[in-house]
Amino acid sequence: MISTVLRTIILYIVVTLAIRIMGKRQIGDMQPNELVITLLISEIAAIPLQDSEQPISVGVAAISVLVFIEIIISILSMKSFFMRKLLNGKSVVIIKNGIVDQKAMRDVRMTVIDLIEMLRDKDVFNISDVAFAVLEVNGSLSILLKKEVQPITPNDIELKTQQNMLPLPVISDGKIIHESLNSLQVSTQKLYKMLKHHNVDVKQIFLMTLDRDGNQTIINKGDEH
Amino acid sequence: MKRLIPASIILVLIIVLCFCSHILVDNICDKALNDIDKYYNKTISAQDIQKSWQDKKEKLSLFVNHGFLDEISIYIGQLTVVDTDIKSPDFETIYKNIQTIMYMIKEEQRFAPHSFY
Repeated sequence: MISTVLRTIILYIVVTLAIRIMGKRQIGDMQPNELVITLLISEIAAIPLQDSEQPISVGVAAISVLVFIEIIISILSMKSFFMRKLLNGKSVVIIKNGIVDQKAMRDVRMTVIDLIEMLRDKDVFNISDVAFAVLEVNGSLSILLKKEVQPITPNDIELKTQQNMLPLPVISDGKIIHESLNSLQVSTQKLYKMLKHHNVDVKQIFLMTLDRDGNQTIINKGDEH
Repeated sequence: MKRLIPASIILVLIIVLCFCSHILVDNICDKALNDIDKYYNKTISAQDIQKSWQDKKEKLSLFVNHGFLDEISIYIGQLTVVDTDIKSPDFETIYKNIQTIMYMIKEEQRFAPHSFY
């Protein structure tokens, strides 16, 4: 029993390190080779857990090899367009200039129902609103709406706007995040002054965000924001 | 390109691990068989051979299927109770069984085309 517990801990650490080194994305965003590697790693890690007669080094070695292969392939994909096309395939334009390319749909084995569902997933309920739709290699659909149905932007009405500043979390669960304060070039004393102004203590705060313009959002612990 | 460094380290570790496992398993299996010969020739006692096997088993368990090692432990236990004064058929049988398992262990570690299929 103890050996099972220890093996589980070791393999958990190994798999976490492997995923960390590979820099995995969410399952929906993975390229085909990344998905293969992820599935293989999970299967291989399970073998020494289920069969205590298998030495753990076998699982660790196999996982290490997969990590190595994945890193090399990702580097090759970055450097070579041919490799990227070979391993990941290429995106396919399904809707071009408002016209559905039925041949392209047949080539990627996509039905009309699939297309409509994917459009709905992107909040598009009328296929005639779409100018271009591209099926990406990870299976997601990217959409460009026709000009007449696109949301209005400040540019369209020639409205001048200020650039958005990125709000960063500066307090999380009662603890100050000094890295964020350094990025915003705000001192701890200044932060305390802001908190004093709001009559709150650091430890009472669930989340506080701040941007370079001084715009703050404070959520206290126990608040329903 | 930053990830090339951990990839290279992993590759080196894998290669080292492969060589180490091959060399270690070969050496330890040969030593284990030598110990059995010594026991047969009464150069070492039953306790010595069992203790020696325990040490070897711990090292081998890093790379070898534990089922094989447990089988060898059982055979070594049996060896220590059979009569070695005369050329005992039981001793010969058990010895051959141990040799067979050791051979299987070495074959598993060997780099050969048949192990890919």
